[in-house]
Amino acid sequence: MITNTFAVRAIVERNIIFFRRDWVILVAGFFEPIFWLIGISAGLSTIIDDIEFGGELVEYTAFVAPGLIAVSAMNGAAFDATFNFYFKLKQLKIFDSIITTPVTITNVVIGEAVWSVLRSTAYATSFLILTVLFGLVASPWAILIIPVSALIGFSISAIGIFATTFVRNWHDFDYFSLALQVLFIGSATFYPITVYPSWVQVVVQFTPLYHGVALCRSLALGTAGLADVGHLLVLVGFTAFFGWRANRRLEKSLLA
Amino acid sequence: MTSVSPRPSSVWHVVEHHAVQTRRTLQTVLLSGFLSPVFTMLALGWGIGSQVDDVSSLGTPDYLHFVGPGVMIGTATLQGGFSSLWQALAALRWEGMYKNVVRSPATFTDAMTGRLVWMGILNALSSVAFLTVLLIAIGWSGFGALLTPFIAGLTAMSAAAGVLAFTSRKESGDGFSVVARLVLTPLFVFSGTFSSIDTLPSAIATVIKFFPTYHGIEVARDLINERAELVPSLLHVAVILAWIAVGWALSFGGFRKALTS
Amino acid sequence: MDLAVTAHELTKRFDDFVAVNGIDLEIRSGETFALLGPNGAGKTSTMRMVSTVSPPTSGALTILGMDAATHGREIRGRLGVIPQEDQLDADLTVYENLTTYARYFGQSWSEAKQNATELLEFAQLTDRADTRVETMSGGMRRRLTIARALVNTPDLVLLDEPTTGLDPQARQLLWDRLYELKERGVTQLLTTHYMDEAEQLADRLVIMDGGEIVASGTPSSLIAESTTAEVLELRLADDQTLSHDLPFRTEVLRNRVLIYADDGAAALRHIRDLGVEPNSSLIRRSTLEDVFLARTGRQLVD
Ligand SMILES: Nc1ncnc2c1ncn2[C@@H]1O[C@H](COP(=O)(O)OP(=O)(O)O)[C@@H](O)[C@H]1O
Ligand SMILES: [Mg+2]
Repeated sequence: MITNTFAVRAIVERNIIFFRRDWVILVAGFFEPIFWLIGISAGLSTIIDDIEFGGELVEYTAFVAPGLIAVSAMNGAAFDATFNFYFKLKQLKIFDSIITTPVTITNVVIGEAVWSVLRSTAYATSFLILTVLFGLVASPWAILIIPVSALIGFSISAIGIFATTFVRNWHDFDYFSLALQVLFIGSATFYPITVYPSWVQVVVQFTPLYHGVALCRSLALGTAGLADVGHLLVLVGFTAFFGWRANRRLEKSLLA
Repeated sequence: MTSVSPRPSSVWHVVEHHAVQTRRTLQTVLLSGFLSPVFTMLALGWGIGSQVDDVSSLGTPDYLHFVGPGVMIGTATLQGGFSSLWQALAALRWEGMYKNVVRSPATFTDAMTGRLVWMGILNALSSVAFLTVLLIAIGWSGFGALLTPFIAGLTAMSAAAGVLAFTSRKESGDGFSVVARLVLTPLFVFSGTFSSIDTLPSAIATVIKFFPTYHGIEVARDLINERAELVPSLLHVAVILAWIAVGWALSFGGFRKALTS
Repeated sequence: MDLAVTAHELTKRFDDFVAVNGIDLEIRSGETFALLGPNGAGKTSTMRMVSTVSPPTSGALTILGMDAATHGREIRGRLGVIPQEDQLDADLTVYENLTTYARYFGQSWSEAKQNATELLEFAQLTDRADTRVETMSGGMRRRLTIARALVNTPDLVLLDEPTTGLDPQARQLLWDRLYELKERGVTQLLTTHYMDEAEQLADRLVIMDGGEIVASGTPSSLIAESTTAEVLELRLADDQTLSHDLPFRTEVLRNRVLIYADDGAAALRHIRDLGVEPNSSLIRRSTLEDVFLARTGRQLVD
């Protein structure tokens, strides 16, 4: 009996084989959130004393850093789930030939997601280690940021692959860049969500990164509580719903 | 032998050529050159602004006055720099446009100059839109503000010229994402965009002063905040112009090789 | 008799358009079977159904003894598919294309590497192992696609227009490879719109047109049933016509006239006796192209 693990693993391996040659791209992608950490919070911490978070006052850099870990998890997954996925789907057309093997479309979707999550988790974990070294982490719970970043990766990957099934041409990715920037800046990464008017706060609840930022922040600052279970469930929900829809849409188009 | 110095009429011809082909570019400009930076500016301006305790050290009335010009010029850098990566490679190597240009009386230097001028114009125009939003948010701040799109255009040109020096020598996109992530992003983030560069690690502050973005941001911020002085402003602009000139000169060989052989 | 593929009333519809209209097929194990037909005949649609990546709209399809509707994965594990367009992984090298593909069948790395090395030999691409696919010629890509499809030592190989777009030399090389496969006893189902390819490779074939099967048999039986032994091709001057009542079947095409006769030379004498002097004449033996013309009234390839 053929089981599914080999199929998912084979899809992941194909990415590893490809990126072995282009590892510089992987490394370069890791730096972006670090630049933002230095560029924004190093400067601003001189003019922002402390931020109130979970009833406590937190140093600004320590407030921003965990948010940027979540961002690095998002960035790690986003490119492979969108741009690169589209390249494989429409330009290389490799999925068309992969599905003539025992590998199914569901295997492909899961395999591609797992690969992008590996990238997410690698970025987030390295970033986490840095923040620990800089003394920005206050709680041992922060170790849970690693599985959380995997979950962020899965949700972004599911949404990204789903959105990519609607892409008509390369120019559509302009919208994706805009969306990523809006998520990056707007997910209460650099300031508490209470800054927003209440209707914006409601809208933000429907975006994935906000929940990732909130989770990473409360884990790093040691304020995790019941609300974080909610954040977790939202991310799981995003992953399940969009993963399911992405799979269905791909089955419809590839199994014509 | 034909002259290699650009002729204004031929350069303008290339600019027009770009302008009529720009339907697709328009979408990119609208989304990445306008909506994205406007969102970034407003979110950070108001969001971070609400957390700033000590505005006086910024030297501006509030954080939006500070970060607005930073994001404007930072965006011009990104847009100008990006335009010299895949787009420029495609235009130079795969698409026919410049090859047709050099078959007309225009030369490869006209093509190159026309491209850079076009990037300047395009980004100056999107900066007008950005500036409009900024001025609505912070209120009219004097005629000096109207010069900022011009600064943005020049900064975009300088970034485009600098990156073009790299791209014009390349036959494939290897290394493009490294330039984007390890050169252009740091320029956006570290050029005193979000806080005075004195607050950044001193090594970064020293290096960043060699690049045009920092100088563009300084001028634009002074203009928006009605505190620009002629001589320092001209010195900043001179640095930007020097980048355009050097980038132009270093792109020369690559363009000649790609278009005349 | 052992059947590799049986299709009964197999139908594929895209919205209102019927691409394959209730065809019946029986492909025996070990034989090479061809679907011959012009563009749009429904060959690719049929192949995609057989490769279990396109669910039939209706009809029954059994492949290697298993129901295609329920056992897709098991079936695909024993198929080798060469699609109409080479969907090679252009981001990888020749060798990596083979090893990654082997992994999709669940092979171990050592198996995958060993198979890849052997197949490079088979496809005469050993010296290209580390080349990126992007930079290869059409013929080499096609050979790699075939090598890739053999990585799981399939029981049934599906080839959709294996030589379309190749130059004669590359075609010949490919035919040699396919002939070798046949010698090994591998069942092959191929599509083509070249009648010479069908004649060269196929033991049996069907001719498809407009989603239907218009003729089936061995190449020689089809020719024997549908047409004469020889064909006389004439090119006439502009002002000439052949309005005479001839004792042969004739087809007037755009730039030539075909005359079907068992003895072409005799037919030519007959026409000359009527006082018609063609600009040029050619006597050849009948081909599947003539069968197609006889059955549909149209040419296979325009
Ligand atoms: N996915 C599809 N959607 C709609 N029509 C299709 C699709 N695939 C094939 N067709 C149509 O079905 C007909 C048969 O196509 P195909 O099986 O590719 O023929 P062949 O391979 O013999 O050239 C053609 O008219 C084609 O346009
Ligand atoms: Mg076809």
